[in-house]
Amino acid sequence: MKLFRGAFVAVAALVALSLSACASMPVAMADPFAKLSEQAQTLTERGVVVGQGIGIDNASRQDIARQKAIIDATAQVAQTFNVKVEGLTKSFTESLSGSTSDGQETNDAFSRALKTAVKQSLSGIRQFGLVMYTKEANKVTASVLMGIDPKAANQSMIDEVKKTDPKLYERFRASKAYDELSSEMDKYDATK
Amino acid sequence: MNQRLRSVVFLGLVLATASGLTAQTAMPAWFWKPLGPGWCEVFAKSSDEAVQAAAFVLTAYSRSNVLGSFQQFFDESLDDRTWRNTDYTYNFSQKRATVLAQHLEVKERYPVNLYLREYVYLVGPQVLESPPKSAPLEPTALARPEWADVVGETRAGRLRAVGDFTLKGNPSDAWVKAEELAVFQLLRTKQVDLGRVTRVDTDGKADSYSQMDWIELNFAMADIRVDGRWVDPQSGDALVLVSAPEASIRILSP
Repeated sequence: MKLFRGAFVAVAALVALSLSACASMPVAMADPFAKLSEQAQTLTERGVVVGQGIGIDNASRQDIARQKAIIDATAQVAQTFNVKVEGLTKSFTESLSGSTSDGQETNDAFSRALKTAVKQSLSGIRQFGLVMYTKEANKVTASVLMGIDPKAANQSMIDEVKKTDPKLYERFRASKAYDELSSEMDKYDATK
Repeated sequence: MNQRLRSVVFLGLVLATASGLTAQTAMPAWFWKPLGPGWCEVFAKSSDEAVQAAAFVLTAYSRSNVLGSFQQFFDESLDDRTWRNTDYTYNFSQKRATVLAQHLEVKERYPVNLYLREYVYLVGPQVLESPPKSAPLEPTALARPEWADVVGETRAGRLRAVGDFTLKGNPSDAWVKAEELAVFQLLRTKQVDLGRVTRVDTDGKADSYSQMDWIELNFAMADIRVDGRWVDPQSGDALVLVSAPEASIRILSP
């Protein structure tokens, strides 16, 4: 009898332990690209327009995953400047009488389409930080930060004007706007 | 006996094919670190073909217009597959290339794929001497270059970009493709005209996501240079670094 009671307690303890394991909090998946996300946050605070892109290839091709990530990050930067969003929601409800025992049936149909579109020219976009990869069987995931440094973008604009229209550049240099832009660039440099 | 002979011949053929198609990773020093302006490293099957190809590349890199587009389409409902399509043309002076070819010669060659009889050729101006002979170097003997992950960085007044492509297939194709991708990345750093349309459809039970990206290229470029090559041991990808003075890349009006 004593032995039976002991075995019962042991089994009960085992079951309780198993159940407690099932009920434990789910383990949070660590973000493999958390370092890049932190870097993106820091860059955004500095005024850099930045996009973190993800590229996946299911055939172990790291080169394709990287290229996809670069395009994704570039598109995200473009979306920061300009994006058009269109949404379409269709909802259809009908009540049918007498088709069921309680005399009423409701048919619902719902569909929603959300479309975003962007078309943008970006100058001076470049990569910030290293490309990071994760591998899981044949699936390669790449993540990369692409961004536009305001100083580089402004300088590139000034250089273009200088080259294509020197008179306009001279007028710009003489204006207050040039001083303001120059001071903004200095401020940006100070935060680096 | 006849059966055994046939098996031996078949096995021999398989081994010959496998060894021929296996990527030749050791390359001469001038391939990993190009010699500079006027020199060109090309893949070809004969010296004549190499000189012709080098004349085209040097002319296109010295001054040309690049027109093209890239599209990428992804639809979650279609097995998570991605369709990618690139279409581009280099416009350069054929006359200039023909004249240049008359002043070039093969300085050295190194076998890349004996089965396909492909070599990497060093082509340079006839007036310049060949570089001193050096033993081929395995990429593993080279340290990871500082430029391995560069996209759109300027150094010494030159804009730089890296292209990469898997070496799982034919190595010569991989190196050429990686170089092309590097040039496109360089141009896109100057300016990128990009479009993206995404669409999410929901019917209350499941979502379906599709995305289309397209990039247009319309540039005049000059003084493009290949500055380095490397193989990433982790991915087995061919990496090529190219550069150009920032001012030498101009956007052409559509």
